[in-house]
Amino acid sequence: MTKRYVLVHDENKCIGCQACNVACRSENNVPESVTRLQVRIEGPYGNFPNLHFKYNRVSCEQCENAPCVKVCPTGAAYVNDDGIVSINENKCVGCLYCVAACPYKVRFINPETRVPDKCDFCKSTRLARGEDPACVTVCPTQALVFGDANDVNSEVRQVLDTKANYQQKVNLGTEPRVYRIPSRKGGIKA
Amino acid sequence: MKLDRRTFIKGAGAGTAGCMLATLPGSIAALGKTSISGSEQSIASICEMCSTRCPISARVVDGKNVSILGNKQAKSFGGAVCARGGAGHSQLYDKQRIVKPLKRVGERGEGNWQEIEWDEAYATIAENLNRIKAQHGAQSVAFSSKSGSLSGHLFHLAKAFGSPNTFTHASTCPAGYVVAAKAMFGGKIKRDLGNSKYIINFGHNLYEGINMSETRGMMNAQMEKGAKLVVFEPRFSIVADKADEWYAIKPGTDVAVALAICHVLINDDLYDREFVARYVEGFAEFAKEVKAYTPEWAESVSDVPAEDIRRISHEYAAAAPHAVVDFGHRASFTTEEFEMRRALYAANVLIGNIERKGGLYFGKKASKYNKFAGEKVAPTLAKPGVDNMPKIDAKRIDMVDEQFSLLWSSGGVYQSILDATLSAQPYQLHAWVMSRTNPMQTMTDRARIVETMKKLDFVVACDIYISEGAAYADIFLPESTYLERDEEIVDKSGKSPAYYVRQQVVDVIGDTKPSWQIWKELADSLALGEYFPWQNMDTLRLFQVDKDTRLLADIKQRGWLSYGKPLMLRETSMVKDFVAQYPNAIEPDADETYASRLSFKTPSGKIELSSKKVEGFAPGRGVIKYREVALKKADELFFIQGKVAVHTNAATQNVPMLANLMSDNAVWIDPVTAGLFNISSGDKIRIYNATGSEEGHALVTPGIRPDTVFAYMGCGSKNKELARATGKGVHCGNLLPHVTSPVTGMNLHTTGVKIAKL
Amino acid sequence: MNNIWGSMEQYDPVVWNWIIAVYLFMAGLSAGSMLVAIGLKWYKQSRGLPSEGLPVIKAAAVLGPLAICLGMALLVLDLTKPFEFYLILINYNFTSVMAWGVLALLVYIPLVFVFSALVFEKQVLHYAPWLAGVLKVCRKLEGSLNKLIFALALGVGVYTGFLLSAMISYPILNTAVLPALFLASALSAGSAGNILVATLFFSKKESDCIEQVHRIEYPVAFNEALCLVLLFVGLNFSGPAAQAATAAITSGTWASVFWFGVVGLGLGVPVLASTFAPSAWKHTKGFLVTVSCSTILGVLALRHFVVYAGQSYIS
Repeated sequence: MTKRYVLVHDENKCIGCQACNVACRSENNVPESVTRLQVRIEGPYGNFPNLHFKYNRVSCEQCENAPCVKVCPTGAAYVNDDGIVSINENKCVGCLYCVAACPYKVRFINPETRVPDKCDFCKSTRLARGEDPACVTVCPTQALVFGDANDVNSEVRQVLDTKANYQQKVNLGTEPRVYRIPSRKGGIKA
Repeated sequence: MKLDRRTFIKGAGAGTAGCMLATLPGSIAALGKTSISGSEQSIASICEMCSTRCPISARVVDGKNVSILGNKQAKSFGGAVCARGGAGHSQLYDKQRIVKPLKRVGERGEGNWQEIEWDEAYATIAENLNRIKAQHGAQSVAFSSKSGSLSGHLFHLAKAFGSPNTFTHASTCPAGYVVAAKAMFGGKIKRDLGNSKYIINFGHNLYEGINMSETRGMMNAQMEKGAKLVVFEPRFSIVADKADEWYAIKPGTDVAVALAICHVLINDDLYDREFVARYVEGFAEFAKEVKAYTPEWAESVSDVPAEDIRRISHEYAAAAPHAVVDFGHRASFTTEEFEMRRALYAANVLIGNIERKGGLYFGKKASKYNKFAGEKVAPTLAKPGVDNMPKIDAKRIDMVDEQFSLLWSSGGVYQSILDATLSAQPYQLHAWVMSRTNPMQTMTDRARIVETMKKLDFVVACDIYISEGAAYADIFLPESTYLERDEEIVDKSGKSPAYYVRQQVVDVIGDTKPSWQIWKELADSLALGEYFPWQNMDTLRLFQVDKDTRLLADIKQRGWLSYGKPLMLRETSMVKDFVAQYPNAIEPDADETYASRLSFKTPSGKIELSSKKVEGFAPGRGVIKYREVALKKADELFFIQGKVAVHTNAATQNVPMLANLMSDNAVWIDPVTAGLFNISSGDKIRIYNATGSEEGHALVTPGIRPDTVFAYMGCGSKNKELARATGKGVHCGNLLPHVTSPVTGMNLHTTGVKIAKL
Repeated sequence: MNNIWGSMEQYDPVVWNWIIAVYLFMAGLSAGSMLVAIGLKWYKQSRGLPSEGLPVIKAAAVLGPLAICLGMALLVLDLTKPFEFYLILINYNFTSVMAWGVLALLVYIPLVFVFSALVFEKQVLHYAPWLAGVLKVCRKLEGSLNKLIFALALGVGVYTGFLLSAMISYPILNTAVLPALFLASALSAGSAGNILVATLFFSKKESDCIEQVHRIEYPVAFNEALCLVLLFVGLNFSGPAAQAATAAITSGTWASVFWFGVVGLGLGVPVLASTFAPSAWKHTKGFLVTVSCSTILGVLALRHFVVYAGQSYIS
């Protein structure tokens, strides 16, 4: 594996504006009834007046050790050379095992293709053209950093090495490639 | 039992289509299949999903989709685009969008429409307007429009027609800070949030009401430069969440806290004496007035602890001059808007942050900038004008009261249309031509607007959808969306000159037209064609650039042109760089600034902290002063509203992608208050007052004061044509009373309501 | 905060629905009935008793193939691309439990038909005399085939449990007890199913071998109960997320399904009936039908409970 694409979501900079949500839908032609990405504004938590929201990006975590890939009976779900968890539509029968097995619940059946769909870091569109994923490009507050963590000069590597960050559900051993910079207020619930 | 996921997926596609609209005349759905065609190459343009108008770059992708991103040429916008902007193509190709002229059949507002051709539409409008003009005078026709190129062309038509009554939405949204700035500084002023080290914010929710460059600037200042943000807002908004300190201030009492800050600055000798002495008029009167406005007094009014006001004032002064009190945007918190916005400006003036980094500054348009540079750094634009426009003798309907004089040229008192129509004050209106405006949501007192529109002899609406206002039109004119339109070059100067331009990206859909063309063609029908001598937008643009085709090509190519280095007159480093760059630049002062060149277009040429002019047209208001206002009855809760990041206040609720994100505005209620009414989150509630009554759902949250309820604006449409929005959520305009604030002419968006569980 | 991010319906953790629950039940029923029939055969043979024509074995010969075919039909119809289900037969990813299950079923299903054909050899040859040669060969291999079917049936029974337990984020499912529980309940369903079919269609005398089958009911019920206890006690000691999942049996619709269906119908009714019912009733048709139906419904309830409650609690 030569590349290790990762995404960092800074919950301090994120304002939950859904620019990413809309850009993703537009870029990837995601049907109206489903979504690859949403940022949930959870809370407020804490005690008045010391409240805080949690900005929870919900999209494929691109697990290093992906449960969806493990359970797929046909190998339609696989991890690409660049580390992106991908789907081979031609091998998929639509058993929903991957959808059920995903601990993050970010896989869904695309009603048009009838196969599971999810975030793929825009790999066949923007990434292929050498651009950042749509969500990263449009983010008004630069809350998203994307890049190849194997590249010593990359911004993501710099950010991950120098800022406090966490991943979701690490206890499951999935090793997500989506990292989160926790809000400066309140605790981390991962 | 829950729907299982497959039933849901099957159902979702079919359920949202809405069967009734398949037959709505004039909609894309009624016209049948529409293919997407346009430029496959990125075209730089300007967004219009909200009124911020960010620079964008858009292209048609594989004939299937339109990709809309920010225009990277505009550095402070960073190539970003918000959810509304990104969803522009969803509005463009919405099957419910109207793409054919319509005429009303049946009662006004009943919702029965018939498709007609443009010729018939123009002829009908011309016949009616000319008849009304002949019978009652041209002034009896009011014209209102979304501002920008759209209002430019419609208001030109109004003037040609002979009516002085032109209105934008200003008095329902931003006019307060504009009027206050005119009174104090002689004109609009900008804020440099990106360089500020200490930002005090009174409910200016830049993280939901996104203004791309300001939103980015503030976040950058906060996260990368360590700026401190203090927010006073009754609701725990996103900006309150991102703040270092949040105070749940009592609604409408911001003016008290702002005045207390001024009190501390003066009383504790924290203000910039030198600046005040040099640039400020009326300081003594102001200082005398604010003597009484102690933090303790402010605490009793606003619930913000006195010690915090004192501490914040000291911190703010310590960060001066690179500190700012944000003067806000939507200015309809209280009827004392004029005093509130002036008090916020005063807190800036006292620390002398004018023309300093992180403070306030004036836009540096080309003519001014070139003068400082001693050379033509940036081209200036010519303003197309028409000679021999008819002289209009009639007074505007909002001119009866001299106190609104500062607003006459900045949009006018929009809601005065209601009184002029219903009670002939100051004279009777007979027709209303509206373009891309939805007063039903934002003008307040919806029932009165309905009454007004029913009483008028003739109503024309130009829009993309049949909005709630357009639902009462006799003739509906379908406008092309911004992605289908060319427009004039627009001045977007900040600290240095900049221009940008809106350009057509996709082919026009259906039988729609850009508004400049609609009003020009209507002028022909009205026999006013001589006042529209230009052929098309190209002619107008060429006139603007004085036939400099290379400049025009350049701006069309890049979409955004900025010139020179940022300049703030009192900032040494900037002036130094400026002078180094331009050898013929004006000689700086001894302190290496242009401080001596800073002047104000007020009667005194200074910042008028207290104003004789204002005292003249609004006695008692020359000096900024606190007045108690009753915004609600004792047994009511405050009702406040705000903007959400995925919608505008009145125009996007039917855009499919955005409606899918949010179509309901559950009402925020504090847990203790909710407990009194036995209300839980999700419960159906009634929210009502003397103005109206609405049904909605409750959102029980600690993020709101116990004496206040909150709802996002724009939901709960009542006309069936907006199928995705109708009947969903609480219609705020139906609960807000018809009130006009002194001097600013603003309407009022804070009122009292009662709630009940259903 | 208001929801401004759109519908959350697609994030419903309950992905697999009643179709899967019924499929799991059918596969268990088939496997259980084969295990019981072959076990009975071996029991009879070990005592030198004749095993040909036993009603229970006849019943298994009907139930075994029928249940697995119905189950497979449901499974295929439930795919989002049912017409491309052959892809699962030609592509294998052996980290997936399902791939192993497909392999096992691929061998199991034809063998169950062979078993059935041997039981109903006369009838089969009547309609398809051309099968005589094949059946002759099979008859010769019958002993080995039965061992193989027994092993595969064990595999299928356990597989239905592993299929669910491989999903790491559902505490109720992600436990080693689940395959054992499913095997035990498969045996319950299989024996009850055999008794039901035998009683209704093949029994001439009232007590045709049914007592032997009855004999395994107690230990099976005990095992099933033990697995359930282990499952929930285990959850209680497996950290907060798992502990929270124990609410599955204390609150909500699925708690009622658990107590009335799984425990009441599946375990309580059969055990109480065979303990307290007067012996005069015990071999009546009505009694046998009632009790076996109750057991079968209990197992069906268990599959539904595990599928739905199991997916409802996510760690």
